[in-house]
Amino acid sequence: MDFFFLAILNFANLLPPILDIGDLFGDMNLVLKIFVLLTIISYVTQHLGKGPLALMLIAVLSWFIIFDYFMIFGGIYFLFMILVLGGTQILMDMFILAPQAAMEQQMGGGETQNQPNSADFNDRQKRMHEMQRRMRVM
Amino acid sequence: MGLYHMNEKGNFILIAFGLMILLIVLLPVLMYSFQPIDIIVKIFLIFVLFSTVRGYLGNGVLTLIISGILIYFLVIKWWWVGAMGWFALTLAGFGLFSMITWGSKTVLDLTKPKR
Repeated sequence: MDFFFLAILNFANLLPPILDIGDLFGDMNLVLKIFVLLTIISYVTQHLGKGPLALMLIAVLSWFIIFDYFMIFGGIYFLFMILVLGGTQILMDMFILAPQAAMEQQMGGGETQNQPNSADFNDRQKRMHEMQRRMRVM
Repeated sequence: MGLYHMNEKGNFILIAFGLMILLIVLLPVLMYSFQPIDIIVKIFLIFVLFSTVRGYLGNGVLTLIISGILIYFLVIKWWWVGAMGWFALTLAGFGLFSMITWGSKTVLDLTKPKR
């Protein structure tokens, strides 16, 4: 495991400063922690207002989530944000289309049977132009 | 009827991901190439970050401090990460990634053999 991280860091040293992955990871970790803190503050104040109990709860939750167990909660928060911000839509589209593609491959040798696409459209256009040209000649 | 390798029709997922990444990377490239786009996108990013933090914390000194930290990291230091993130969120909000996924399977279909 250590070797893996060292390899990444060594690779990062070879890259130009714009892709300094080691530095980027640390900074993005801090940014993620700030967003987690904002979420905690907003969640607690929404439920308990801005009294002393809310402040205590914010302090306790922040201690556990941001400082003690960030290895776990950071990943969970990141996944949560991806899901909230529309990651499921993309997954759903892919889950719907992938079996369809597999079925087409099994039934028609991979060729789309009923679904017209841009190639079909171009074919149709070509045939129509050809027909029009012949009619003009006649 | 063309010859197919195993799971070749499933390649549309990779094509869709490739197109999405290409589209997202386009913004930092444009920012790097054209100065006006760089300035405009950075102003947008500052507005977005500040309004996000203000939405969480309301008006106050803490909002300014946290916005300042986020603006330093996401607009000044790692501008390309901030720009890519903002662009990805905006496009996802418009549902453009769903369009790319469906389009790469039904319209584009690069795995279909040429007749």
